Amino acid sequence: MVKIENSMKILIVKSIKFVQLIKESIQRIFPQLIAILVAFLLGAIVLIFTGYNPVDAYYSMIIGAFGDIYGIGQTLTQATPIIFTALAFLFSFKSGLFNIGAEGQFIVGAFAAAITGIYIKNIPSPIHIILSILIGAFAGGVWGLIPGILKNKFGAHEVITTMMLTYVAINFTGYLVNYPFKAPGWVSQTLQIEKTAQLPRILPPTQLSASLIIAVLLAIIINYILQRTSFGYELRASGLNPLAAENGGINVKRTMLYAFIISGAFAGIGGAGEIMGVHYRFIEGFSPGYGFDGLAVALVGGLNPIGIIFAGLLFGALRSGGMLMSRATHVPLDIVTIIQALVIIFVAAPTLLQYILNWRRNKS
Amino acid sequence: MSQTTRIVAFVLIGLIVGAAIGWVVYPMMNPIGPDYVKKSVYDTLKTESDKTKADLAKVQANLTAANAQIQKLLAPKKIGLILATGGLGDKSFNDIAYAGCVKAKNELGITFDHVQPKAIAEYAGYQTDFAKTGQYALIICVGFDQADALNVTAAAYPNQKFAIIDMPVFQPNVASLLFKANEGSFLVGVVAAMKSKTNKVGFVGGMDIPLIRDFYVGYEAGAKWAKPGITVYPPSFVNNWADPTKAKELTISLSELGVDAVFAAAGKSGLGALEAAHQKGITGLGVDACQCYLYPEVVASATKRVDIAVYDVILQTILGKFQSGLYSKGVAEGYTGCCRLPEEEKFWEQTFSFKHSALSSEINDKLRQARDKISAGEVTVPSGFT
Repeated sequence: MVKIENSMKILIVKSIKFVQLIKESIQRIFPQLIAILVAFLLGAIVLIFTGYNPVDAYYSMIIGAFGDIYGIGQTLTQATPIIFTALAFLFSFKSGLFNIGAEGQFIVGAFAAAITGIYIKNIPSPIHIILSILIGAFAGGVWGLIPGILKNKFGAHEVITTMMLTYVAINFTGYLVNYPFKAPGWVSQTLQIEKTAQLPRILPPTQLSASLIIAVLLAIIINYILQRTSFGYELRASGLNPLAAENGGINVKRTMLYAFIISGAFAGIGGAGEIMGVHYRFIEGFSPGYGFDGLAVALVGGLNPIGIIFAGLLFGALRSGGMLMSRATHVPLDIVTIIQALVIIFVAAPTLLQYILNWRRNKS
Repeated sequence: MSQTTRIVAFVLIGLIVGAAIGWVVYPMMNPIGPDYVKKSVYDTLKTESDKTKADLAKVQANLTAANAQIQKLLAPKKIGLILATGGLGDKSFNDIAYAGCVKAKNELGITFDHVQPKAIAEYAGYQTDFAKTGQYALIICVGFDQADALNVTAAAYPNQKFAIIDMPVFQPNVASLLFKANEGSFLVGVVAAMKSKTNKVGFVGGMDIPLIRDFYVGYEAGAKWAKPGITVYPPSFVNNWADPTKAKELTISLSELGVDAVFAAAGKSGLGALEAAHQKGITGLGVDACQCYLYPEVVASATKRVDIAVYDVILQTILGKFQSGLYSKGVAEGYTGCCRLPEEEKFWEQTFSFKHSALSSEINDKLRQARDKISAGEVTVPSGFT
């Protein structure tokens, strides 16, 4: 009898804890949800003022993003690279660094993976895939290391250097793909990568590739590293208070350098996955700003690796749904950019949102 | 026999005889209606009327089917338009292709949806997005860089009709609309030669590839046709589609050699060449779309009438005469030309809302003569693809 009572007690305590956990997580994502909702409402107002029907526009956006297998595949495909770049930004951010150059690291990683995929031939597929991803990660890591060294040696602020290196990456790969590595024809693109280097597509006929699985795994691993390992602790400590961390025996400079390299490597893997899973070749200007979206997604995801997966899905859905919206309702794609910007503004400025909410409450 | 019996007998006999007569006659009469006809006649008429009714029903069924067919043909056809990455407002291919669709909408009653991809990597997604709906009678892809993506998409959707502008795609459901650039270049060659006072004309090309050689040989032939003794300088190549500064330097050095008319076929780089012409006060000649709105010195442009090609392929599609394959057309079909020809001048001035500077009647006459001769096949323009 006592035994049963005890186990009942444990069960009740556990379920109460579970409910609390859910409550807490809802409370934690509540500002994000409100921000998204308000952004869509304001977007609707913009639509009305520009003479479009917001119901039609949003309806076609939802249908485009989730209406059929193809839409879902497209949403996930678009979300994948953004999740990578968001994780890259998050990792540097947790260490107190603003790596806003994920776009550049993404592109360099993509190019390196493409070259590996094209010019290394006749090796088994799994090895070729792993090798290409590692080289993409390496190239992204090197691109992340440069601002790290510049910061450590010369005190150059990483916001400026990572941003500038993004343009170097865009133009440098632009040169490479227009001259030494240009495929015959008029388009600025490389040859197609070998079949052995192509990531499997996991939802045919859509372009969704195994890259998404890597992204999700990476998010879980990062969550573990940051929360459960001493390295993650060192990272967060140097991010929160570098002086205190230094006093506590953490080599802050070295930790920062690692953070730069790893952050760049994540973006590089994203670029590699995009080439090996979607395009099968490097095309000049293939990234419509995935790196910059990553920054926004990291913020909307509440600076949490798991939150980033969901925020990435939202941005992917906006991109893929926007395609159907612009085709079916003739609403320009720019409205998607406006909604994204509004989401970011409200997430990044919670006080503004609070103010709006309070104002409404006071009114009623 | 009593009197009564006799009467009864007569009545009976009368009845029997009457019945007998009725028995014989009645079947020969039509029992229906006030006008009695013979049964045999009635039967013949009845069979014929039944036959006619059956025929009528058949005709009516055919008519309904035909009407449905007509309704189907008359129903607004949907056309998909996937623009090139430059997007609307490029004052070139995209704007003109769009104008062609608008014309088809106004005159042929079609409707069209358009999208503006921002990167080459997005083409495949948009093409599939259009094709998978199955709603579009035709999907038009603007620009050569869509070819790789279209090769894959067209194979994946074999029942969807596609058209691509300016690049051959060899798929059984794709019509490739190509332009004989050498013929339009011939016409601006004529204008360049007529405008030149130094009798030296030059050419700035994007890259040394057959496509651009095609412009050059047409231009050279046109200049020499208009003025046999003229010097046409060998082509200068920028080796880049987006380096206006270098194109500008090349043009300035040409003008220092005494050249006073320069034709630029070099993509965005060409804008630099035309700017140099403006600075040096020499004649500039534009390409692809009318570029004469840029500077008054740009007096004529070799045009690719993407609007006409787009309109044509839409028309063929709604008539059910869509044919895949390569369509390479030139001056005779109105696919290429010169913006100073009377049939084009208004279109460009309306599209880009500006006014051309006047040309002397001598040049106008020569230009029209050249167009007529090319159309009639009396002048054969050499090609750069050999």
